Amino acid sequence: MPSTNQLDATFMALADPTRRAILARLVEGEASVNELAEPFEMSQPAVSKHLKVLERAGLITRGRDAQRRPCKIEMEPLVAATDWIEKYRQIWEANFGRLDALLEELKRPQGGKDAK
Amino acid sequence: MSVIFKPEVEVSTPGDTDVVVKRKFNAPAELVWRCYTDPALLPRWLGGYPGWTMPVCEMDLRVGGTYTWRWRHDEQDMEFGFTGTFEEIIPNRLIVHSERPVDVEEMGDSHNVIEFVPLGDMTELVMTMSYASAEVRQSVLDTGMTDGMGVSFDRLDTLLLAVD
Repeated sequence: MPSTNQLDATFMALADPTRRAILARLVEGEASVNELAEPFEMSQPAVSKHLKVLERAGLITRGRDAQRRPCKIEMEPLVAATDWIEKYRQIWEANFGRLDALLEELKRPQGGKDAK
Repeated sequence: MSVIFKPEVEVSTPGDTDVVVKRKFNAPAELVWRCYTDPALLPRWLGGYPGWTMPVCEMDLRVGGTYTWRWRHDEQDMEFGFTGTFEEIIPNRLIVHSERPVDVEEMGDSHNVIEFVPLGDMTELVMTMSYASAEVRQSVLDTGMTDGMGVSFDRLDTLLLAVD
């Protein structure tokens, strides 16, 4: 189970739409800063700033190639994050499933046996 | 037979401290409101995980009134609950209340806004829980954590939408 700090860092990094778009792009494969800057119409330094946040959160790693330093997405923190959000969602899904059943029961005028 | 109707529960985490849970129900707002505010009805759906019952559900539904919800697991001899004060009430539309966990360490105080949004014959329930800090929010969400789930890009997509 990842630490709370790790999850905080993950969610802090994911709170920004540009960073989410960068990650969505990196799911397709590695990319250099230049390649990432292009579709977002952002300056290279602006993209680099976002990449630093993502890198600190452990969501991406940078290659060694001094010229290109390609960015690669790291799935582990994302999986950790989806795990809890999915579990939390399932808790509510169970609650609301019971609420559905109760609502159906209340909608029947005399608490009949079967909903239509 | 019932018409199959299973809308998705949407969970999102806007900003640093909020959790928003949304779900549509195939019933008018008045009825969803009743299920949320009637102490005889609420225990029938809220927190009824296997083994748990809700022996205490007291709600003094007026501004300044308090509520006490308590769940119990007989077999494990465990109990926890929430208590709080109603701050704003618009019948069939809105409840604003504070929430303080009792006997559960990993949860934190929150300020909750529960909206009942009419959509024709349906209702969207929108619950916004605001915690004191990002840390508290995370610890609340961590209580729902499990490990051992597989990796998939579908889930990444889900997450990217969820945090939007």
